[in-house]
Amino acid sequence: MRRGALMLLCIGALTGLDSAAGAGIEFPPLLQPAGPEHPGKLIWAELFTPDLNAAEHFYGQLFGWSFRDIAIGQRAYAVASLDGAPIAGFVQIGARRPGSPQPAWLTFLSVPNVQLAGEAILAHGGKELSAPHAYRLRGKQAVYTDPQGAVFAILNSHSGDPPDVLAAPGEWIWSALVTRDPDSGAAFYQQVFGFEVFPLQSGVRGDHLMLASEQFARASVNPLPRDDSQPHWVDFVRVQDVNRTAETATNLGGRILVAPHADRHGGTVALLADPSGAAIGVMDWTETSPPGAAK
Amino acid sequence: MTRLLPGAALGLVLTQLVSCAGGTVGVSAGYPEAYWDGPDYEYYPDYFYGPPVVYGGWAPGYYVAPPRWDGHPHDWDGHGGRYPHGDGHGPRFRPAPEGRAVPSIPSGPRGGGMRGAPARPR
Repeated sequence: MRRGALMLLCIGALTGLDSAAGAGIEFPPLLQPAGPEHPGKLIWAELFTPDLNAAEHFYGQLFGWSFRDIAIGQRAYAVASLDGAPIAGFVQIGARRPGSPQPAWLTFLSVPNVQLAGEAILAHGGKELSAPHAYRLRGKQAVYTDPQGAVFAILNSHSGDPPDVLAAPGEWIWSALVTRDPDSGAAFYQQVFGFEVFPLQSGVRGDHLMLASEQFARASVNPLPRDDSQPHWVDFVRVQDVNRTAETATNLGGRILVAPHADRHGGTVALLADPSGAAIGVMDWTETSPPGAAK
Repeated sequence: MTRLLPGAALGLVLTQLVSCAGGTVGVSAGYPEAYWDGPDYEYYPDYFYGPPVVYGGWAPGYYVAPPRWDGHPHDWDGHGGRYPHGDGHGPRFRPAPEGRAVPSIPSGPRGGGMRGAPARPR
């Protein structure tokens, strides 16, 4: 009798193990319903933070994002959404101490084929940090550094990319690569992603460049303003009032890294740090239409 | 002999169950292999080791925002042969063809669906 009970217990435990193991990590799709891809576009970002709860509070208050925890093994992971649409992933990392990874945002750029893009990245001097891997609903992704050391990810979304419409407040609107040599940086991303490159004159520390695909501006490439820093990507969220957002960020325990100021084209930008130190840009943007478009 | 049978049966059942559990890895549930690499149970995204990024330091006149659709920036020079300059090392980019209008970010209206449908400025 006792032996039978033991057997049933073992079977139950193993069945449970099988069921849990079969679930695996289930990242949500970027889009529902699916849409077309937009190569070169910022389509996803992940925050690596030592305090997931603090990050959720900060970004939830700042941008109106909501969060849903999903299981990814030993790590805690939350999907941030805006109006029901997934917009970013939050990943728990170890507590900050010497030698631990720096809290940061990781930029995901759309590619039509991760394997081919990865080969191009390696062929042009990039380094692989995470090999291409396909997740069932999200898509295939991989992580690299460019030849100057900026970390970025590529993603082929199985459901397509967020459409090319004006970003709503709380959505990603822009990216900037801040790097030692903008010219060779732009060349690298042009070789990998096929960007068109537009030089734009800047008043300080030389000129900066703009990367475009599908007749849309996708990112700027700027010179690194500090010699003590490493090249990096910065992603920008559209907000309605940059000054108010910066003030809210400080009230929530964040810091202002670059104070709100007018950019050349009339918008206002600022660079903020969340409570863990990860940097994020904010930008306001009044609607404009392309030439010939119906108003 | 009869006392050994239940133990053998238990061993057989356990072997089968462990085999089934392991077999779930790599099953693509109808997706092509390239579409899904099978279930994962860990995510190790510690990419930001090494020398720290020091953010900021954008002095006045340090521009990062995209241009707008309503014309070239005032200091847009249509390349004018200045680019690419760089320091003479490393690869240089190919500038967009002269005369090409500088594009801006997507500005179309949101359509239906969870994220909205695209509206392309063609």
